[in-house]
Amino acid sequence: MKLQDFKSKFLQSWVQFVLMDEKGNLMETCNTLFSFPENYGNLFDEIPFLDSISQTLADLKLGAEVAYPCINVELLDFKGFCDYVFYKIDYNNQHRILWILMNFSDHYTHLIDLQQQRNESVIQKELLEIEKKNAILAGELLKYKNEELKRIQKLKTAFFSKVSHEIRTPINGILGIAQLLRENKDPETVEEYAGIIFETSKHLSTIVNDVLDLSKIESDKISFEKISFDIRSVVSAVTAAFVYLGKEKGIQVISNVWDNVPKLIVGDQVRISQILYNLLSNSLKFTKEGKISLDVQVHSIQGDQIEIRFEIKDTGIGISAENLARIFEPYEQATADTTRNYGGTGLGLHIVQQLIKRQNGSIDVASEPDKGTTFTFVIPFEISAAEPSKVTDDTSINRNLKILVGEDNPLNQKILTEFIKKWGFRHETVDNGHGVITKLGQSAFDLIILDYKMPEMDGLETLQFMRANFGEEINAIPVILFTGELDQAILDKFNKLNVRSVLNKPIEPKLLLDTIAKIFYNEPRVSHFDLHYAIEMTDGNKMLIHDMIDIFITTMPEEFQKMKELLAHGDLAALRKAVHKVKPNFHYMGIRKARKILDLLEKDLDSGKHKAQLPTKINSLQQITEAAIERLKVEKLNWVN
Amino acid sequence: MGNSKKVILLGNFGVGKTSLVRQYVFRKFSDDYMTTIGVRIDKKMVAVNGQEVSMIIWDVAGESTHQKIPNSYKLGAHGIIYVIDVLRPSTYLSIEKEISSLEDLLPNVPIVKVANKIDLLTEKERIEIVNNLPLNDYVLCSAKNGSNVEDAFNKLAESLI
Ligand SMILES: Nc1nc2c(ncn2[C@@H]2O[C@H](COP(=O)(O)OP(=O)(O)OP(=O)(O)O)[C@@H](O)[C@H]2O)c(=O)[nH]1
Ligand SMILES: [Mg+2]
Repeated sequence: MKLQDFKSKFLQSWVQFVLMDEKGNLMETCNTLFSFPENYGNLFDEIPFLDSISQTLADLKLGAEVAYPCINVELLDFKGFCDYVFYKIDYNNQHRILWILMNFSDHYTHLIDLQQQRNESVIQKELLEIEKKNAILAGELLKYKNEELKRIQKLKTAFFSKVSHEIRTPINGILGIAQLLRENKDPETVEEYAGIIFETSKHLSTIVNDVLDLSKIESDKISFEKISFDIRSVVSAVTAAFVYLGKEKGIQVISNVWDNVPKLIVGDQVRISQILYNLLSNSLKFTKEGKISLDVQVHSIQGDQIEIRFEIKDTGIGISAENLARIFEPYEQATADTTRNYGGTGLGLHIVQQLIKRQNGSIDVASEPDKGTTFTFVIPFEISAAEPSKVTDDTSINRNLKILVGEDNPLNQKILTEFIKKWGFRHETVDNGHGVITKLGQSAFDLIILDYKMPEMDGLETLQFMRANFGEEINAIPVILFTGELDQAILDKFNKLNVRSVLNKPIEPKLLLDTIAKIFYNEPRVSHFDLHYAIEMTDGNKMLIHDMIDIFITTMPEEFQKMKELLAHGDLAALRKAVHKVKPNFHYMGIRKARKILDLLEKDLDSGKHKAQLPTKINSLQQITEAAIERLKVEKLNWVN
Repeated sequence: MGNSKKVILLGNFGVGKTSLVRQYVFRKFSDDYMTTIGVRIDKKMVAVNGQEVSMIIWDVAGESTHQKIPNSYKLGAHGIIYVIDVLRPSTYLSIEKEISSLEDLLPNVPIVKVANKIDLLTEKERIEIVNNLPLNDYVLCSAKNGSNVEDAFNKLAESLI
């Protein structure tokens, strides 16, 4: 085709032609849409569009064409939408490229609106459909949740009917026996009945505690203390109970806390005991022979943050894979065969799991039927920089306290006053807040123990009244408060009223005594023995440790026998030697209480002074030794292979 | 010319092709949707391994399939960015077919798949949706906050030289 033909065919105001050579050099154009300025450079260099299709143009065959519709053009002073057509032509015997630009801006601008509408409505529809689908999914989820809720509701109902049965049976038992007790005063029978009542009440108390714990967990009312405590004493206290129980069934119960576990950690000692107690009871319940072990070690440590891993392993009947999946579900367990056969509410494991979870820990269980079960849980703690919390045993506190007890429940009153008497304190007891107020006006007290719930004037009202109406002297008297429900809200309330300690019911005498000691005596607890040195010395060789304890238990009474004889004969030189000989034994067993007396004894025997005090010193050394031996007898069981 | 590369953006309408180019070339973004008709050309110089490449980017109007796009647009392309919208399954349900027919049409032309609008997903949704996309190897982008936009274009640029 000749250029002339193009000119005549296309030369209209909305068309421009550009003629260039194959390298992009401008040859000729008409200036209908725009005009190139003088010394405008190479078109391929100047116009990116042309640059990007230069290869396509080069490949174009003579006489062929390529079209690009709807190009958004911003070129020199032209702005709009054009269709481009490129022809490869022969022009004066030279290959040339003819570029035709057709300005269809009006047409395309109109198209934009149509396309925009189309696209928007399609997208809108799509998004709507997705929303609909999500809504359906959400609906199905809701339906599932509702069904699940119904299922749990059903289990709950079954559970409560079972629990009320579980509660009614022991209560009826207790009532029956109490009736019998009234009629029969024969001391042996009374003893036997009291034993039955004790055991049955203990059982009942476990059930009630489980149910209360569960309801606390479900209503999210459970709170955790952050107090530094000695994890080893928690472990050994819990284990000691099971060593005995295990022995009755012929099952060995052992525990081991690894050396790298710090002495003191910050957390809730009571809850940890509860978890361990629950898991060990569970193991003991389902183990007929073999052994149960509790292993405590460091899981991870970072700065003062530590995760401790507890592993409770038994050789019991195990759990089938199917049951394993539901083992932590609260109401499932209660209705399962196992609880029927083995008793209990079946809530224990659920409570354990929740207690662990709420301390930011996790629990796992692995089990094989007939082989055994292993529970492993990890809980984060802080490593404590503090001294051990000050706990006391009942031999070490001063007995001159006068305590005012406000408690309405006769049974609790009885328990409190009996123990207070046993500990050697004096007391006056009243059964409501009015009584407390009256007594405070009449005489001086060192300590007030109050029950929260009392008729007429409860613990809270009593305290509020005291704080508002009494002087400094009375308000300085420390208050220990007992409550059936212990949660943060209650704690806060009483902390505001300056209550020294809030304790949970049922009354735990040991804990009460510890609390009293904490308030009045700053004596750190000195444990009866501490095997750290022995473990270190023997590299943890169980047999050796066991033998060392055994030797201590069997030889020490003989040694005291000997020392007393020497003392009676006045052979102080030989006595000195004898004391010197036994001294390392106390060191091995970590009986720190004996250290001071031993030192004094040695000094007195060396110097010949204070002869009159020798019998007293030897006697108290013997008492300390006997107390340690009592406990070592239990501990020894932990070190049998 | 020398090192000029024709790069085309394909994908359904509304997936964010124009937004990706605007973010990449001008570091701008707008929430308003203005559909592209035909094609708009932009240019950006990039250095790849010390080599200057001039990317001439063809921002093509979106269509449900590339078959609806003039062949001349695709002709001579050196690279393709195929964009999908993570929120709209319709933009990726037939991506396998689309990609394989593009590979037939333009053999040996690298294709980078971009999953756009990732900013609209939570971490959880992101994992779930991305795991369920057909094909893999997407560059997860947000034209809105710019994340990975540069990476997507660079990834293509690298395979161009
Ligand atoms: N939130 C979010 N919105 C985006 C993103 N990218 C694009 N959009 C929005 O999506 C809509 C469509 O974006 P465009 O870039 O115009 O899409 P396109 O692919 O060019 O659409 P067509 O030109 O019609 O093919 C616009 O409203 C943008 O604001 C993104 O990464 N995140
Ligand atoms: Mg666009």
